[in-house]
Amino acid sequence: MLAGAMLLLGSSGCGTAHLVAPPGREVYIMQADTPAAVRVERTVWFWCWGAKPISDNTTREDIEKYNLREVRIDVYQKWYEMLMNPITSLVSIQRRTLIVEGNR
Amino acid sequence: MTLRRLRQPLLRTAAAFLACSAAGCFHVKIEAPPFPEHVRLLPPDAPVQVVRKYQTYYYAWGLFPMTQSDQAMYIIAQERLVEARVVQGGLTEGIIAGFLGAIALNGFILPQNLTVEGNRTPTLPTAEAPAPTAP
Repeated sequence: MLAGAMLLLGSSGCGTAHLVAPPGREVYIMQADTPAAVRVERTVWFWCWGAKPISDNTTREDIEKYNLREVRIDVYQKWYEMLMNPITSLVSIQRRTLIVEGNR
Repeated sequence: MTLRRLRQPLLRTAAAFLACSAAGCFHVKIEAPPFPEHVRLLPPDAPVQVVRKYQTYYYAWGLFPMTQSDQAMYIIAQERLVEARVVQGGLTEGIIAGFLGAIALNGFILPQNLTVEGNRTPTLPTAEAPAPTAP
């Protein structure tokens, strides 16, 4: 019963992803139909059921690393994350996939 | 006796179903509206005039958005923002998902928090990006 309640409340989680620019950079939000030259897909890990990011959950470093002038993101859960998260959430760990697309 | 014998397998099946259906595979895309004017991306600490916090809902374990009109690009367009930043996710969605999971089929309806912040007039100075670094 207790395990069921923990699964129910913990499995959905509350991890965040931030579409933000690094300070001092002129970056624009990219439109949906614009082709992207750069595509970065990475896993973002959280603990405390998503409240605390373990890995970078913002676009700042991607923008700086790839020198992007325009950027868009897609946050989602892969099918196996959908299965993994309820299990790892027993120890408060959650993961999501962040796709950062952009042009220089 | 039969009920007691069935209890353990039933509980295990329920737990497995709960675990499999608990989350979902939603896609939250954050893009600019299809306007000729470009929307500038704000740094996290920049002051903003407009803040819109809301939930967007997905059904069938996140496969389909309930409505397209509450995606970030439409909010940016509605609010006529020329500068914006967006945060996806948050504590409320976990609580709502847990509540919806308790009263309905777990994970069938999935909320996602979106916070769209921005300005209707430009506030940031034009800055040149640094020269590209060698890979």
